Amino acid sequence: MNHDEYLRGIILRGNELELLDRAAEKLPARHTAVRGIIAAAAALLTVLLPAAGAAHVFF
Amino acid sequence: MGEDQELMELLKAGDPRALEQLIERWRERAESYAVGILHDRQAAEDAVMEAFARIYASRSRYEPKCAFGTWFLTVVRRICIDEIRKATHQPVPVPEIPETGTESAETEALHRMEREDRIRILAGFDETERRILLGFSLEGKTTGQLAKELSMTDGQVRVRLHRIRKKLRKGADDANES
Repeated sequence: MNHDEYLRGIILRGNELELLDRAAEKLPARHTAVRGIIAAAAALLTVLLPAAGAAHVFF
Repeated sequence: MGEDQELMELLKAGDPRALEQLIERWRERAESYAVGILHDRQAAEDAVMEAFARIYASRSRYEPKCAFGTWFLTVVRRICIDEIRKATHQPVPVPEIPETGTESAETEALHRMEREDRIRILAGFDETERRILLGFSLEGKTTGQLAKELSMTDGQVRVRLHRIRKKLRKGADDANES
């Protein structure tokens, strides 16, 4: 492989890796169904627990 | 600032001649080092070429915190180790990085590796993984569109996407542990 080919090969491969790196950086995080359920349950508890406490005072 | 650091700064600024000069300065030394690990001249040349490509790919994030030589030879070493692991699935004993005539230590170079780790992981992606990552993340394609393009099912693309995320996450975890 001559000097120019060597250099071109490095730049091509380098550009490819750079593009993939940019794509990896922008890859949106996946929110799984399980994580969604846990978050919803936690939100529900923060609303229900104080409400249940307040209801206990009245009954 | 050393000459290599200056060349990296020039490369970061977009001067392609700086890459040529870095190759002139480091190619032979790096290939000798890689031959010492791989015991194969052609594989060593390929590893050093790949190392230059990775350096080029990460040029925009370059910060001259440690000696270029130590950093570069560490990249070469990791590529060689990955090659041997791929071939043998065995732990690899490798020689220490040779002195590069500066104050910087290999441990400093390893810290820098955190940034290169993602590129290292990406370098190991196959063609399908590359196309899914680029299509989904940069081109905004849906898994359904990618499935059509790649003659796969939507489920298969989703599984591959999950594996891509897992690999990238594992790379980040490994970097934090090192």
